[in-house]
Amino acid sequence: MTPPAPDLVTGLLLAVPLAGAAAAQLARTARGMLMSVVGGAVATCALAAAAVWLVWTGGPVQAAGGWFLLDPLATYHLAVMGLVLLMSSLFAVDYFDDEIRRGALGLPAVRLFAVLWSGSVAAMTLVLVSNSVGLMWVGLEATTLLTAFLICLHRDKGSLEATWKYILICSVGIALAFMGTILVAAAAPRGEFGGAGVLSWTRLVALGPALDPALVRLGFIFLLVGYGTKAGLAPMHTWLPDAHSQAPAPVSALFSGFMINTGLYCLMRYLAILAGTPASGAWARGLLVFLGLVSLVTAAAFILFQRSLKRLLAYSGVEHMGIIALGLGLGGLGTVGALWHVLNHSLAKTFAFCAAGRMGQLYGSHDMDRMKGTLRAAPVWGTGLWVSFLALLGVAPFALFMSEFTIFRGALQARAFWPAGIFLGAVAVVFVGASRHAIAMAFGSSPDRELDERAGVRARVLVWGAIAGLLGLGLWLPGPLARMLAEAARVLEGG
Amino acid sequence: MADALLVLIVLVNLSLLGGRRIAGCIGRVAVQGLAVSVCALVAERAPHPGRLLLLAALGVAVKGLLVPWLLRRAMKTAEVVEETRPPVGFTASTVIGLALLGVAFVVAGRLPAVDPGLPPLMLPVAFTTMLSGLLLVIVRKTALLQVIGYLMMENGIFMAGIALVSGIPWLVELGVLLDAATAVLVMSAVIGHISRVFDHVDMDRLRNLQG
Repeated sequence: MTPPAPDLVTGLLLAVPLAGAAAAQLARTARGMLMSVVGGAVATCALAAAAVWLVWTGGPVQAAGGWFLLDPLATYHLAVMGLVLLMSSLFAVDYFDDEIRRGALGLPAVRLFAVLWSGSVAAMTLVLVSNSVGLMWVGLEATTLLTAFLICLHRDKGSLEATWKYILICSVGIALAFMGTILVAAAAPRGEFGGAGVLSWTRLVALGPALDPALVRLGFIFLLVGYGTKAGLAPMHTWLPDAHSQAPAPVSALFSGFMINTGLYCLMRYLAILAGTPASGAWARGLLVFLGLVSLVTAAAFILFQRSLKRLLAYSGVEHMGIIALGLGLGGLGTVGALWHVLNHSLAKTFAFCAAGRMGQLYGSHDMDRMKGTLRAAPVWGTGLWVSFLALLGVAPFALFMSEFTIFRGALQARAFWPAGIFLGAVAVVFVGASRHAIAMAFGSSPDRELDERAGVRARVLVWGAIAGLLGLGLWLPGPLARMLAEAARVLEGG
Repeated sequence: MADALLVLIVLVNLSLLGGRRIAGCIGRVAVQGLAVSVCALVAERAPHPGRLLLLAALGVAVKGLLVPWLLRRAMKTAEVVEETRPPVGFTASTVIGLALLGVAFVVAGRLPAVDPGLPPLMLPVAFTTMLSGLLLVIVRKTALLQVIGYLMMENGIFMAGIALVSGIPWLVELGVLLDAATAVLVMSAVIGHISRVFDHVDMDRLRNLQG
């Protein structure tokens, strides 16, 4: 069997979510709209697998005349996106079924959700497969615009405030990132442009040492602030806790599980460009270490005093983005650990937001002081919440412990003892702050009334599958995954 | 010609930083958008004049017609007329704007020389427009003035693109323009919803709907 053509795979990757959006627009029932979301997710997973296979067998390939690129970094992220999408879409069916049954959400809102959800998947895919750093930017800004109204599906005070903060802060941030894009493109020697070439990522990587160091560095500062805003790195993270806590749970799951990763992904692309000049590369990685540590410390401080479950999970997103940025900044083993952490965090965080959302529906609140005895009251989702919490706190033997440990070893290998110490300290603070809540939520005295969990087959598959994944990846790193990580890391090192 | 446009753009920056009434600010940022679009025509040396004209026409349509229309509509829905008690005063903002102009000249002067065919003022004006926009977003409370700040940033970055990079693919320029138009569309829609919910809706009843 010959591998599928790259043009076909990238074209379908972009077209399928758009077709899903069209189907949702035309569907007459809420069930039909939600099924278009699930169908789109399944198709995206299959296409992501095809893209992985394509690169696995034939190495990096360009498509559509050099506008698109499938390389190990892109396909790895496509695979992670597919996983997050599948989990959150399956959960969305159960979640919105409940909302509709309670009359909390009307048909127009469900349609809006389904259309915007599929549209934002197309935008995120555009970010991942673009070979033009300009088109990548267009995709990221489109992601922001398409997801804005997902936060305020319920048009209430809190969610509208969160939507405004999100759209303004992220749009301004991403505008700065375009300035950075222009500055990096301007760093290329003059006189050999033409066609799509000026903003081509492969061209910029190939130019490497020929890029003007002053312009590249100025550009990277803009990019770091801009894309860092989208990634939720502190101190540009201020939109994130509001948006994640106010959005409906499936949307929070997609936001925290993958959308913020697209911001980091853009930064990874530029790290590869800067890696061409050793001095600039080391300088940029130093900045990432710094921002990563700031994010870790900020998140730890806010997690200590958090009462709302979804806000706690949102700050945990800031923490884990910080850990990934730290790993990327350390380089070497740290890069591999950071990329591995991308998968583990996305899996655990999507799972956690699904569980938190279901618990919120059952208890009618996201206040952790009122959500007690979850394990007994709701055995399936309660177990899910407990396990995802432990995994996010970095408890062994779950997968996140292994990737965090890899990043820690990377820090020691790079002789970055101070960052390693701050990393350990912040993770310890988060552990102390959050485990207190986790234990009370899981084992506290059960609520007086009976909770009707109604966990169907879909919910059970989701919960036990995610637990198996988090445990399995913690105990054993499959050979193919290790190879994917190594190849993606090589892209980042500019090779 | 180009220099006159650039001076106009700087003057609009300063007047927007001192602007209190929203209707006037919407008009002025539209003028700036038009000036920037025409600037692209004057400065660009692209090999495809047809595409260039098309993009400029689209820029004029978006920045001169669509955006002001959307903003005026949002202004009417929200029933706001002016910024009252801004976090940083109007005079102070204008003075900071003048300081930013100086910063922009210093930064632009330290960068490698731009294409000699372009007006040398282009890059500093681009930087100062971007910085003034960022400033406006920070020092104003009214959502509409923050959107205007965002539009100024877009204008500045668009000019920086012309000054620094020759031949940005038209597909990317088109995407950037569409994103800016959609951003204003979404922002003005959110402003409309906010004004409706915050003014006319019982908050306690709405809080029960939260998932």
